[in-house]
Amino acid sequence: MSWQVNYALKFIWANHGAASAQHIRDDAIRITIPDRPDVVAVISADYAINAELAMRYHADYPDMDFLCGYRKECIWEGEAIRYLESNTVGWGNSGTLGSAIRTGDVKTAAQKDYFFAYRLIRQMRSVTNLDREFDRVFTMTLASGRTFRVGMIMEYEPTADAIRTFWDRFGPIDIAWNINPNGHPTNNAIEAARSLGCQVMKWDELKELLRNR
Amino acid sequence: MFGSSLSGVGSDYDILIVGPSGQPLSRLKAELSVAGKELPLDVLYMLPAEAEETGFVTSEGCIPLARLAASEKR
Repeated sequence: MSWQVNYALKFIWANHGAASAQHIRDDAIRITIPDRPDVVAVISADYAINAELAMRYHADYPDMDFLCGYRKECIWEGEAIRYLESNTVGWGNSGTLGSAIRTGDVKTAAQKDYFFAYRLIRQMRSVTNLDREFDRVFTMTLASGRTFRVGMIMEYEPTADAIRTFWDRFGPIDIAWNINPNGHPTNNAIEAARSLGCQVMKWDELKELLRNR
Repeated sequence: MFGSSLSGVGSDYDILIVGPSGQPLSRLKAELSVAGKELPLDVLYMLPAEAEETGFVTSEGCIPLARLAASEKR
């Protein structure tokens, strides 16, 4: 049994009361929830999940209900997200899987770290086009025609290292959007962003920018 | 270390590293990447000034890894 399947099973056993989980084969587990259909979740240790990988998992496990990227570092590419969502397969980290087990919405679950923030942007009338490149990076086009590449930073108090690591991994962004409603970016984070040529913003500041552009 | 795994119920291990940026940090990250290959690690890196500014160590109840290791040995 792989390490990530082992951890996933132990976490479900310890934290999900009535739900039980068993290893099926390789990276797949079955989660049994009283009064609900069984769930097949594939627990991946990949550092990045692209469309090809998502399709391969789906081909290997045709009854997959949820694809879990277990590593904290796991990045989801936009095409992978689109493939999974169009095939009604939930996706996200172990926390997202855990929440989905509780609510019963496993097949439609999406990485909860970014779900609410991305929905906020989708509902802004001033945003005329959205291109989601990764789970946490999108390019938005405003009614004015201006485009901004935005990175969603979920840390409670983003640090300089968080900003620089994000830039290294995803390339230049115009806005580092601190989507966690609690906490604030550190002064070093704000300065790191400035030196790189981007701006760290909370939602209030981003909303103002969207209104004024 | 901090977070829910200290009480045995977390899905990952939350680790805080406080120190300067630059080469030592790059080396440490590379070592942690190898050491954590089969562990669900969630590592947060802060400069000393950031740790002081946020009061993170106190507010999150961070416990030094050396103390945790020592308590395991007993």
